[in-house]
Amino acid sequence: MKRVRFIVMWSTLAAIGLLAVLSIVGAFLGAASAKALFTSPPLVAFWFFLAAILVGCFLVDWRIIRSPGLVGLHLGALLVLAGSMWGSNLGHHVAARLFGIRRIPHGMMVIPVGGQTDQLLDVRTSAPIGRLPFTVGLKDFRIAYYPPGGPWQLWFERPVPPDAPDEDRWARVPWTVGEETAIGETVLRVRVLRYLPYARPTMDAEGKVVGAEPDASSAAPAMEAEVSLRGRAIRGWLAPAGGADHASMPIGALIPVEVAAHADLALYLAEPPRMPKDYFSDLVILEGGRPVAEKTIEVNHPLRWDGYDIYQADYDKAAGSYTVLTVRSDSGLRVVYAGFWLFVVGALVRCWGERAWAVLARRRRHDV
Amino acid sequence: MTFEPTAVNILVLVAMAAYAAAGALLVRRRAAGWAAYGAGFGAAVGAFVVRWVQVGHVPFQNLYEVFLVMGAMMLPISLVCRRALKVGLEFADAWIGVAVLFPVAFGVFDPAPQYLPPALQSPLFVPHVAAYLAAYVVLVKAAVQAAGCVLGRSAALEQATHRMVLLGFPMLTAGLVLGAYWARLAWDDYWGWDPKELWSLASWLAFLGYLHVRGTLGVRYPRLGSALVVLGAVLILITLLWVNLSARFAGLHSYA
Repeated sequence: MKRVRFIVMWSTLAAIGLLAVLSIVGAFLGAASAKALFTSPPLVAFWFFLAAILVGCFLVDWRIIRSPGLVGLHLGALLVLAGSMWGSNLGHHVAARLFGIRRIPHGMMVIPVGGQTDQLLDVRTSAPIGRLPFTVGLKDFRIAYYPPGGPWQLWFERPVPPDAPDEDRWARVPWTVGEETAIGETVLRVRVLRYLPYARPTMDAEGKVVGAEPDASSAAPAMEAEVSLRGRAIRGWLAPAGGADHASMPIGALIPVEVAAHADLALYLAEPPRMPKDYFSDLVILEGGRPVAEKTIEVNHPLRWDGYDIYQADYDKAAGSYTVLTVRSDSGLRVVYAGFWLFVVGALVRCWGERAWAVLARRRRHDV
Repeated sequence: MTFEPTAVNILVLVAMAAYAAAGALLVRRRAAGWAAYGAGFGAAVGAFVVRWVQVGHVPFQNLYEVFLVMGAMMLPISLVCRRALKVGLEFADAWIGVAVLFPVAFGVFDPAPQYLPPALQSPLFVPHVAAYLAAYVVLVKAAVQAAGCVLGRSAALEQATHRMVLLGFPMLTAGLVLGAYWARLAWDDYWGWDPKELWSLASWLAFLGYLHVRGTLGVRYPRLGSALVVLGAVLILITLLWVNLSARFAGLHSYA
């Protein structure tokens, strides 16, 4: 027995060391390759070996049985391993073969507003991988934004072909009041002379912006800027009027006339993009064509139905016209959760509770 | 590396000065040292509160904020260690506080306030991060004791290291488990093989290995156990700094 205990002890230390080294290797590989590594046949064998060691600990080490904390820690680890194996792709395959429980481990759905589907797609390739036993419909999709904040941004529209992508077309120009900066990759320079965070534009008789005044009731700013090119300079105001989300200042006059294509160049002052605070999908579950459940899901608040968890994953960033959901089978999940809590409680009992108990018992003995 | 005289940075600078004074005074003039330590704690908590008001959420989001929080955790952890565990070396804690707050005050980390992305808007955000940060501070303090044991083989330092790891390990475990539980709610799986997850698992395993060595071999190999604690602290620093600052480890936790 002593020899078996010795083998289990050193196997445990070796397994912990190997897992730590593999974790570091996996971190360098990236998530996708790390997952492939940790679910490869040799590592599947390792997980079974680890589970066997945990069972072996109970059989050969009496100290574990006598300590509630150690029982919690080791049993928790065993449950996490067992639940993870049962919930893995291999576990789903085994469940289908042995018990006829057929579930798709993981997939995604793309549903337009007003649409419905039971088709699951592969998360990476978007290829169809199977059908759910129920249909998911999207009644509505909403995005909540943070209020716009921070100074407005200065942008320069590059002279590129009309079909060029936005990242090629627009160059953001960093600015600080009083400092001169280059405009994109050009030899043009801009100096911001004044920036009024809340302002009202003043206009001439033709409706052209000629200045601005501070106005606490306004939501828009105003910027006075000077753009220069080889000793020549023009000044102007960028002040959005009438609730507009941007204002422009033509700078083509600085460009030599022979470069006719650049005659309509301009600087733009634009509201910073609004950050999404959260996004919501109003889902309806249908069975046999009839609605049986409804829930509004958002990030951190999935919908659980018939052995699957449905998550808000992404959405149509251009028009908000569709939602992207991921769907994961909950096979083995309760076992994993039970393992998690046993694990934490076991660690607390072993490291804090049992020591505190020992100290109290020692004090009581001294008192007696 | 520059000092921007914002309200938070000024308070952090005051906290650093007070911690430095505490680090010097706690060796001999303990009453004055504790007073300086308390003043530094007050300034660090003040900086934390100001930052909270500025960003509109508990400031646990980026490195600027988590280092500020860790700076404010030093005194409570020193007191718990002194009262409950009979572990001293508070002057070293004060110097750790100076080191932790230095990158906050001198612009090493980006201080720009950030909106909380949807995934971080969860009741699990604060307990998950707080458990990790408290564990990190405790276990780095344990590593200071362990380094002394590796170099000098002191039985007292070995005992202190063990008590500190026993304090920090459940917090580290709670941080890991809360993160996994939260990941299932936010990202659809409790384990995503993300680089940060794997580095944090490696650091947790280093301390688990220490507890196994200490539990099975006792105090026969004090340097082996202490070396594992130092290794664990190095892995914590990698998890906290390298993984967050390097594009090589981009992943689900990149906003941190």
